[in-house]
This record gives sequence, C-alpha cells and structure tokens, in this order.
Amino acid sequence: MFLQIEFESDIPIYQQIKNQIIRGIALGELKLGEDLPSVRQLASDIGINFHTVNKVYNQLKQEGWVVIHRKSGVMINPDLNVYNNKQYIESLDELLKFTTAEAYLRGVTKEKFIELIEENYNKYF
Amino acid sequence: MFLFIFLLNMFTIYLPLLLIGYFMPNFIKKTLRFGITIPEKVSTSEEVLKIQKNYKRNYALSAVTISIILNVIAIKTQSVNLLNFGIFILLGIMTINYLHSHNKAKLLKKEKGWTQNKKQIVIVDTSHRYKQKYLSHHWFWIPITIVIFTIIFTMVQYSNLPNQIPTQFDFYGNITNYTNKSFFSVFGLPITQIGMTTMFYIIYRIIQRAKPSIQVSRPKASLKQNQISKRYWAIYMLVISIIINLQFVYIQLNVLQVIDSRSKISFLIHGLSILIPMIGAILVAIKTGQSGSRIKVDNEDEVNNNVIDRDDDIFWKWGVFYYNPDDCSLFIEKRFGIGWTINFGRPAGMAIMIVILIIILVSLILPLI
Repeated sequence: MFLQIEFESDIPIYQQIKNQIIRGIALGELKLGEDLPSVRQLASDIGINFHTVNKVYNQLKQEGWVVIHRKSGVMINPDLNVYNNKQYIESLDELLKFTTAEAYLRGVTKEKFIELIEENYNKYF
Repeated sequence: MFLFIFLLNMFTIYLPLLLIGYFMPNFIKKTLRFGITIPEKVSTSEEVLKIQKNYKRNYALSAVTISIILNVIAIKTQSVNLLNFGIFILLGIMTINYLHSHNKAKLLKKEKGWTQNKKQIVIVDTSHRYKQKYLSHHWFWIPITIVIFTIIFTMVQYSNLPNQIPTQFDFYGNITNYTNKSFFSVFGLPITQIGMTTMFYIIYRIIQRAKPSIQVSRPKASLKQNQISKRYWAIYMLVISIIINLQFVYIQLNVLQVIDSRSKISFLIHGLSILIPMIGAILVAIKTGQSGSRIKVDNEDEVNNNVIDRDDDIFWKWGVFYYNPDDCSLFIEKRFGIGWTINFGRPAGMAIMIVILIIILVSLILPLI
C-alpha cells in the first residue's frame, strides 16, 4: 500500500500515518497478517525521525491494529478484533460534533452528508 | 611514456568527463532540474528547456576549449603533471556550469511560484521490501571465494619465496621495484582484497536500503523503475568486485612469481579491468538513468496534477549536499548525477565524510613523506 504523507498539512504526520494504515485495513489494501516496514525503514523512507514512527506503531499496537514481535517485526494483527465500546462511541460522537457543525454551516445538506458516509462505507468489507 | 599517459588520460578521464557533463541532464528525471524540484507539468515548458539548452551550450564551449588548451600545452611541454592537474580544472569548470544553471532554475521556480497552492506529498510503499528481493547476497560468495583462494595460496607459497619479492610492475608487466619479504609485502594485496570486497558489499547493502524515490504523479511506474535500476546497480557492484578480485589474484600470482608477469596477457588483463568497470558504469547509467527514469515500464498511473512531490530544496545546499537532521536516513539518492549521497545532518553521515576526507588526505600526503 502507498502511504501519502503531506508535510505542510495541519494534521500531524504521525496521525496521517495512523489514519492511513487503519483505512488501508478497512479498504483491504493491507491484509490481516501483512508485514509492515520496520520503524527505521518507514521513518527513513518518509524522511522523518524514527520516534514519530515508533509513536504510531505503539499507538496502533495498544489499540489492537498491529502486533509487534521482537524478531519478526511489525504486522497487521492477524486476529484483528477491535470492537466498538461505549468509550469509542463517545469519541466518535465528539468527532462528528465538529464535523457535522462545520458541514451544516457550510451548507452541506443532511442527505449529502449521509451519502458521503455511505460511499465510504460501501468501500469497506 | 608520455604518449601512453596522454592517451590513457584522454580516453579514460577527459573524454568521459566531457561527455558525462554534457549529457547529464538527459539522465536526470524530469522533475529534478539542476538540483531543483519542479512539477511534472512544467518540466517540458520552454523556460525549463531553455536553461537546459544554455547549460549544454556553455558547457560544451567552456569545457572543450579548456581541455584543448590544457592538452596542447601539456603535449608541447611533455608535462604529465599538467595533464593530471588539468582534470581538477575541468572538474572546476563542470561545477561552475552546474551552479550557474542551478541558480537559474532556482530563480525561475521562485518567479513562477510553481509550488504554491499545490499539495506537496511524499509517497511511501509499505510492502515493496518484502515482495521484491532484488539480488541475493549469496552471490557475494563468488568474490569471497576468490579472496580466500588468494590468502590460502599465498600462505602455501610463503615459505618458498625468496628474500626479495617484486612488488611493482609497469603496464607491460616489467618489474620496476623489489621489496624485502615480510608479512605486509606478501599479504598486502590479499588484505586490500578483503577491504575492497567489504566495501563493495557495503555499497550493495546501501543500494538495497536507500529510500526509493517514488514520484507522486506516477507512483507505481516510478517504484517499478526504482526497483529495476537498483537491481542493475547491485549486479554491477557484484560483477566489478569479481573482476577487480580476479585482477588482484593475477597480480598476486606475479608477486609470488608463479606466473611470468611479462606475458602478453598482462596488458590485456589490466586493460580489461579498467575498461570493463568504466564502460559497464556508463552502460548501466544509460540504461537506467537517475533512479531508473530511463527504464521503460508499462503500468502507467493516472496523472494527478493537483499534487506534486515534496519540495525539499531547502535541505539541499546547491542541490548537492543533503543536510536534514530530522530525516533518519543516512543515504539518499543524488540530485544531479546518478548514485547515492550522505545525509550530512546525521552524526554518522558527518563521521563517514570525515573518515573519507582523512583517507584522501593521508593517501595524498603519504607519498610525499
């Protein structure tokens, strides 16, 4: 899978990597059990400090998206089981509060917003 | 003797340098002009092509004129020193021509604001390292075997050697100097072989690990080109390490007086071990171009003109020296030229540079002492 990193973006680089890996899993571009580059390799390929990639991998590991083995490196969790719990729904709601508010004020209709969500959901399997 | 050195310099240094400098822009990918990143869309625009045309004209005029003057004076005065010193003058001319065009391109980019209002993106492939094994490191057992053979053979012969052994030969294989038999005079060549083979292996690893430069406008195609070109250069490194090791075995056999150094084959062997690496490098460079930009690949991506490659010009001093402390990679592809260079922003990068400088200085000063 290709990661697309934008250095000038408002979104911090570690967040971009994390978002794209999770989306890659949802889209099926990253298969379960697929190897990811080592911390040093990925950092070097992007051209950033390896602490940034370390942070991403640790967060992904804590949330259950990847597993890190001392020997075989980093891979997408082969028995991926991330559930939605109350906590997650709360944070999702928090995110949608701002997103919907801005969309509403910019004149995006409710139908258009739902259509966009459906389009995205249809890509996942 | 002068005529020989003159011809050697002419055909292995002056002519190749003149041609390399002239054709260099053709080997570089379109989005890098004289060390400046430009968007794919404007890479064939008139302003950009004009800089390139002027470079070629200025370069041809200045470099050819200087080379002719230098060589004519050298022939008149039969001066080998002038021939050798002239190489530095020619390199200086090349640098001036490059810097002039570099500054022109920099100015043009600023005037036109090509990078403004465009999303700058770095593309990274998360999978390529695992899918593509480009040249197994087991191939390096061939040069290693040659080295081991030399060492064992030398050890076997050591006791039979006379007290004086030949250590210097001219191009025709005539012995020009003898040295007292000692560990270093006998094992000097095998030790050098170990050092050289290690160096070639390290370069091979660097090529393997160096970050691929994936172009935003055509990620899949450029990644494929990168991989193919890396494979070519890895094979080149392997072949060269084998050839140079074979040449060293031959010289060592001369030193041990197992074969007669004056045989006609000497000239052929030494000639080939200079010509093959040189011509090989030129052929591979013509075939691949910078990061494989000259390799034809099929899979064309949809061109996206809203995004451009990350503008990292600020990290490249004169488009030549890469200094970026925030980048953890030690080796990075050159901007003007084919090959890889060091990230001077890393302490290890700085250390490597200092070691290389010391080696060069020592090898320059030692013969004078």
